[in-house]
Amino acid sequence: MHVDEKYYDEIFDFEGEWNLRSKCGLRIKDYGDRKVVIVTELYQDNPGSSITYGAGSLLEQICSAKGLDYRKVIYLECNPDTDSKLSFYDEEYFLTEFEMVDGKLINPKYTRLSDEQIKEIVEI
Amino acid sequence: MAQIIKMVLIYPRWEKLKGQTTFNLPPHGPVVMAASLPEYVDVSFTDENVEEINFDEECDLVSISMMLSTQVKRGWAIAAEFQKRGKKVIFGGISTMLHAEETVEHADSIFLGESEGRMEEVLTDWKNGKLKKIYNYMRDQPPIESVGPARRDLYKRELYNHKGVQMVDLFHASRGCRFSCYPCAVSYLGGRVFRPRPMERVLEELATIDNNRLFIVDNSLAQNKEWEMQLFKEMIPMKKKWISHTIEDDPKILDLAAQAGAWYVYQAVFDTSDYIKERVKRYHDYGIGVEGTILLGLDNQTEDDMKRLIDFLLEIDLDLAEFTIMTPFPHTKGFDDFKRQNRIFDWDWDHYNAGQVVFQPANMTPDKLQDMYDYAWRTFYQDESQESKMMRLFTKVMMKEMDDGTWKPRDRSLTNKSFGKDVVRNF
Repeated sequence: MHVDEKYYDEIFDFEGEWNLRSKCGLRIKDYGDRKVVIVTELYQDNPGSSITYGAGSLLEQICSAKGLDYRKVIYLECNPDTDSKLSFYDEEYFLTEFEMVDGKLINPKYTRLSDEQIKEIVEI
Repeated sequence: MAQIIKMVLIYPRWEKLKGQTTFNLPPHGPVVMAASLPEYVDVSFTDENVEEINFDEECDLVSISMMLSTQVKRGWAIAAEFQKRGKKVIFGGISTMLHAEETVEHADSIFLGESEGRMEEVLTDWKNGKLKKIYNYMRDQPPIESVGPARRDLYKRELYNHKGVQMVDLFHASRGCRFSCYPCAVSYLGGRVFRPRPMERVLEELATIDNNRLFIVDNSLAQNKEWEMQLFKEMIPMKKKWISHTIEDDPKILDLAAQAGAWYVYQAVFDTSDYIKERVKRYHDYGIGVEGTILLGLDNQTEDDMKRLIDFLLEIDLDLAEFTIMTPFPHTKGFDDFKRQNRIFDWDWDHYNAGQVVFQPANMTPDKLQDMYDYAWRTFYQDESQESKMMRLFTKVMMKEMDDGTWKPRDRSLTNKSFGKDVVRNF
């Protein structure tokens, strides 16, 4: 169940839960003051935590590695289409918003995006 | 000589699903962990599913091994009892890893990861009064060569016996899984890299098991054809009879599996396709039985789909079927999806038994899904009970054993016992 490279520009290594070495697809769209960060689940090519378990810690690690300000980031989690006959491996995007508490991004809130909403945020 | 440390190793009980035939198999995780303990540890094992815990047993240290989500709350309660008596309690096992953040609140220490080569450190810390709250080896798996034969000598064998028939022994030939199945957390727990044990270690362990019937608990044997074929070839002379998860769908491999003693396999049935129908037939063609595992409550299933699926199961002549309700166990894709969609309404881990609806299904109410689960069990077994179908499979294995001279009669001294309890016969 390999994920098509069309979903990302690079593989991002991150530390998952319990320090697990983890990987996700990463694409950053730069719209000046606004950055759209899209993380993509890699399934069998991710040896550790999922992007959803990575959650705020993953966004913090991306911001740190790429010099981004989380307050200017629109953060999307992507379940890629894996060409599986099982419908729960179809493509989905979630706008993911966090609260900053004691220096940590926690309490993620997810909004599933329609195709139109994705186009409004970013032309993928 | 090192001072002997007396360790009590506990496997917590869980509530069995109502209406289903209960069998207590000797648990695998605790005795695999026990094999990794240094020689100076004198360990006694209590499986609470078949015997009472003696909270006053003399010991230096208590370890609690947990496999299922439905064991964690009981595990925490057991820990509290021992802690009241001044004992230190360390947790390990699969569901400790899945529920680590909560379990650490109830533990003196938790161990995450695989224990081979690690326990000396834990025990030295304990002896020095420096037991760490968390031993995190999740990203640092030990060499697979270091996995030795499990400590099956710790079992009280008579407790895993039903009316004189010894239950199968659990055994593993590999760790890790390269697949990413929707409801499964194995790749999180054991890594996504398939790690077969060296064949000589596998055979060494198989030779130590005084039981002709096994359950090979590897998540899937269909991960590496060459290895799978070698495993089966090497097993042929041992004449064991075994149950396993999926076997590669290849005539050569199925033939070798049958020669190696494949009794029956668990095969996931997701749809009513010809592929599934033929897959089941191919197993049967080689004399291998099939227990279908059917997950109900997936987002692509409607009530009609489920009914069609159950009719299909009856048509394809499955030997057994096991129905479970989709359950979003932590660290699965199902959990991620339902969490994002805010569909999980029940966070009581005692209810995560795969027989109870804990989330909002996509195409029906939770009550309807619960009804469909009951309907599935009832309908599949309406013409022939689960016990009767099991007996047919059991007869098949006895016939195979009689053919190759490995059959042993039941233990007459235990014919009035079932898992350590007296059998009540209603005449």
